[in-house]
Amino acid sequence: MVRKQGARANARPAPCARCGKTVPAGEGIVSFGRDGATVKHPRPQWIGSLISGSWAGGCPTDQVAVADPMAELLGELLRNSQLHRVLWVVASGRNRYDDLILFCDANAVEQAITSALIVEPLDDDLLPPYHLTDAGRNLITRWRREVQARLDTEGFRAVWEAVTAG
Amino acid sequence: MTNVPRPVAAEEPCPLSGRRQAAAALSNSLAQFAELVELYEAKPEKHAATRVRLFGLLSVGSRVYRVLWLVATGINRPFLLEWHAEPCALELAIDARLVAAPLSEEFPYLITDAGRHTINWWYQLISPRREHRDFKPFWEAVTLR
Repeated sequence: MVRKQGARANARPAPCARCGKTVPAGEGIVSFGRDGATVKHPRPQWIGSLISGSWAGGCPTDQVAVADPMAELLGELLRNSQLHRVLWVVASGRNRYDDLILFCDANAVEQAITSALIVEPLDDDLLPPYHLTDAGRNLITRWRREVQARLDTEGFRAVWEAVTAG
Repeated sequence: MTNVPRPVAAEEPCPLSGRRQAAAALSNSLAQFAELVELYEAKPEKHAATRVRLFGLLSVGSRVYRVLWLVATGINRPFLLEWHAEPCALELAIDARLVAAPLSEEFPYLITDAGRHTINWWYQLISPRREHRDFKPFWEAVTLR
């Protein structure tokens, strides 16, 4: 008898061998061991792009760990750290064009301009130089308050360094 | 005895608060300046009175413009502003919400939207004339380091 190779979905609901919760029909993976078939939730997998993607699959017990609000906040902060760095650099007085291309990511600068967080110079003399708008100032003020209050928590120190270094 | 209504004090128009007054005065002076400067530049020798008003307008605001200019060009640490600008002009700019007060040493004075519009307007008026004999002192009074 030839058995089909590769992972197979379960035809009927069964308890997961890893977490014990019932896997609905078609959502688990069946594996055939020495003592019969076992059903498991699929392993968590990163779906989509590096920036906007997310974890999919995994046992429900795994997903509780992923849905930690602190981890989500930290992920959000890390994802936007380049943008925050642009705002921080402009706020701290290094708002010339030369400074921005030296200290910041060019894509993040463009993103900050298109989302009206900073404004470009008026003329070809690049005077007055780049400025924060009120929206950008509110954003970086809130960022500073949120992160500075959690500097002792693991991970937030890295975010602070990534944005304010140099 | 009849009820005589008590005399009611005549209602005074509510005065603008200090910071609104200051901001309004600044933008008002820039508007006047924009009108006068064309008149003056057409025939400078015929408008001696205009010239006096023009330079009065410029010199009145120039200390505040200097604060705005310094903050805008990145000289926004407290100790730098103390050194380069007049303290009363800095206070006025903060009261008029043209500049946001600092939160800490590494998070210094920042210019607000209102302040940015003011200094941009000033820049657009003065910058094309900065080499002119009459306007050079005012340009330097604001932008000199």
